[in-house]
Formats: sequence, C-alpha cells, structure tokens
Amino acid sequence: MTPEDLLYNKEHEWVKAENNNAVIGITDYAQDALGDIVYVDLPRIGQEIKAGDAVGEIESVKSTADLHTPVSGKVVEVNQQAVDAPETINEKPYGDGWLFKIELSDRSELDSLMNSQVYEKYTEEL
Amino acid sequence: MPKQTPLYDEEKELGARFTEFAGWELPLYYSSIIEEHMAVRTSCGLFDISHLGKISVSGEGALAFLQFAATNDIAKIAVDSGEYTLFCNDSGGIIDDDIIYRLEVNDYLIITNAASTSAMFDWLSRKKSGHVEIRDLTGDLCLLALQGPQSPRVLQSVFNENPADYGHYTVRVATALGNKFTIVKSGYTGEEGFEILCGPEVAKPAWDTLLGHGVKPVGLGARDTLRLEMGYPLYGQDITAETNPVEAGLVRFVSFDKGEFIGRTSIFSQVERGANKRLVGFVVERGIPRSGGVVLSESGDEIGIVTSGGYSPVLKKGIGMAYIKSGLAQIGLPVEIKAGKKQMEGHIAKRPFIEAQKPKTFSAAS
Repeated sequence: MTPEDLLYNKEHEWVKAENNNAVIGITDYAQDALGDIVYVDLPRIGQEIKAGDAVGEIESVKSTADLHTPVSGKVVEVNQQAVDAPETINEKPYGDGWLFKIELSDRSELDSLMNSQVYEKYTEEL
Repeated sequence: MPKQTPLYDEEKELGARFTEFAGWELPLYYSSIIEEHMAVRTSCGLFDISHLGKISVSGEGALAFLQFAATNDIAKIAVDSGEYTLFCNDSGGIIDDDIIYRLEVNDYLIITNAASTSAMFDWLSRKKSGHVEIRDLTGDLCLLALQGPQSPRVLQSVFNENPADYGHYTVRVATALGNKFTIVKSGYTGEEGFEILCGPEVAKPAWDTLLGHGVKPVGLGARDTLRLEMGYPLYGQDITAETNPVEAGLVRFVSFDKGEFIGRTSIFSQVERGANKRLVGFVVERGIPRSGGVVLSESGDEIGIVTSGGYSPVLKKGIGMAYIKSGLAQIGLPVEIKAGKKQMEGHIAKRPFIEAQKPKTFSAAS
C-alpha cells in the first residue's frame, strides 16, 4: 500500500514533510523495480540541493539509478542504516529505509507533488 | 518478438521477472538475485539455459573439421566426454567460447553462447569441408543446469545416477521419469553441477520434479553474478572478436601442436610478441563497477577498461574484470575505476574472487 501521508514525484521518490523539514526516500515501486539494493550514495550533510537534481545513486545487483530530490533545501541528516545495510530500503522503503532529511527552502514545491492516489494511478499506467 | 523457452509458462507461474537477452525472453530472477546466488553457493539451484545454442557436427569428417575450426585439441575428447574450446578467426579474434561434447565417435554437440548461435552456425557451415553435417538443434532441445553443493544428491534422487560416475565434462544417458536424458558434468557457477539435455516435452516434468526436491529456481541475474565471482569471462563482454586468447589469458585452450587450425598463425605470433593488454580481476572498496568504466592508475593515467562489473554476494563488494596494459597487470596494484563523475578505489585481485571450489569426492550414499 502507498502511504497516504506522503507526497510523491514521477521519479518514484517520496517526501514526508514535517514543519520545515522533509524526509525523503524511494517508493515501494522503485525498490521493487530495482531488485536487491546493494549500495547507496547519499548527499552530504550541509549540502544545498535543488528539486529535480540528481543527488546520489542507488545501485542494485543489476542496475544503477540516480537518486533525485523532489524538493529543495539543505541536507540535515542522512540515514546511515540505509548506507550500511542497503537491503533495508528493499524491506522498508517507507520506514527504516528512508534516505535523507532536508530543511525545506521552498515549501510551495510540495504543491507540485502527487498525493498517494495520484501516484498509485501513475504507477498503474506505467 | 523475443523467443521463449518451452519452460516459459512454468517460470511465469513461479513469478519470474523476465528480461530480454540475445533475442530471448528469459527469467532475470524469481525472488532475489542475491538469494538465488547464495542458494547455488550453499545448496542447489536450477537454471533453464535452453537459450544456449546447440549445434550438432557429425559425419566421418567431423573430428578433422573440428580440429581445424577450434583452438583446443579436439582429438583428445573421448566419446562420452567434453572439453572447453575457443573458436577464433584468421586474426586470432575470438568468435565464441564453447563446450564441445563427443556423443558418438562421429557425433559432436557444441553448446554455444546464445548471442553467438547463428553466427557460429553460419561460420561453421561456411568453413566446413569433407563429410560433415552441421545442424542447429537449439529449438529441439532444452538445457537445464543443476548447480550447487547439493546437486550430486539431487541428481541421484531424481535421475538415479551415481555422481561418482561423472568426471569433468562426462556425458551419460540416464533413464528417469520414463524418459531419456543426456546429462553432463558442467556448469558456469564454480560449484559442483550438472547440465541436463532433453526434448521440450520432457523438460517440464524434469523441471517440476527437480523443484520438488527443494531446488531453487535461479535466473540469469544470478548466473551472471556467479560466473563473475569465479572470474569466468563472458563472451560478448570480456572476450569478443576484438580480443585474442593471449590477452584474455586463455592460451591454455589453444593447442599449437595439434597441427593447422584457423587463427593458428596469428595466435602464435601474439604469443611470441606478447599481449599489449591483459584481462584481470579487480575489487573495489565502495560502489558497484559496471562494464564501460575506465581503469585509472594511482597517478590518474588511463590504463584500461572494465568489461564486466557487478556485485559479489559472497564478498559483499563490487568486483569486475578489465583489460589493462599488460605491464601493469599485477595482483594488488591499486587502481581507480572511473564511471562518469564518480571514482571507485580498488585493486587488481586474483581470480576466482572467492575461494575456488575444492575437488570433492562423491559419496554414493549421500
């Protein structure tokens, strides 16, 4: 099930906005399409990132995918557990497998993201 | 439309994720590439490799022709046995690497790489001379690979065969499940294993029966990670018509004393001259190398190119193979693998990357 309290982009990343911060991860659809994830490269803490930028990489056994940020801001935290045990992203993409947290620079960017219903419809049509 | 093997429906039923490879729609994985990989390393896995080419070369002139076409000494292959060989062009470029089995005195079966089958068939047909018949049996036969430390036990249970009767590349005909199967001791995983050749109608019951013995279905994804962990070259990536046996480190499969064969003069002069580049293995500390990556020396000079790369589930690290300048091909040499903007630190490593399979003695009672 696609969590209803998150927002989504077309690159299959999710955003959970809390006040002025946002947690970002990849969706279940993305982890399923990638297969066994074995390596992640995350942005640095303190790095300023812009919505749509490739800010890291996710590598599965069979392929490499760019990690984008759906929203702009400054990176304040990265999930070391996802780095040390990348299979966590396969197992709990919406929970322990989150990737990084940013301080939002423009909350209005959230308005352009999809809610869970729209995102589900989007993935069904792929 | 890509071709499908006769086991396509069975595989779909098992939840396989399919991928297109060499014009075939084949299972990439069923559950997880890593799980399937580890099943083969620790227990037993079953692959449908029916996409591999099966070219029959028969007739009174078959041996003489194959001696001339292949690089290895085909005359040393006894009936009911097989051998690995290369086929090279006049310049010594590798056309394919194959296993040749001798089923009868004048009846050989070549198992080719799927992507090479039609080219090999055309090339052999063009080069043939004397009393030789060449037939492409790819669509008429299925090929299953039963691989892993438990494979001898499964072979015994399902086919009532004694694993001790099999040496390297031994061929035996077994009767089981009311049918005949040609079973060979072979594989591409580094583990004990057998390959089972049979007609399409027989393949389904054999597939189901084998899976019923606790064997895990394994897709192409793990087939690649398993061979890569062993450092086995893959045709089309690590060896091609643009690489020769000297560069690829495969000269031991070239027999210069058997007489004339296609590519002999070129390969011999390559041996004398020495190769400019060598195929080596490497391990990286972080990240996953992929083919096409550039190999840099510590000082940043370009010294080679990655031809295979991926993840080793046993080492839990990125590994790969690359051609690098021959003077630098030393185990332990620090290298950087450059792919786009990123750079991965690593070093040249011995192959196999994991401890090679130890010779095992079979117990008929196991």
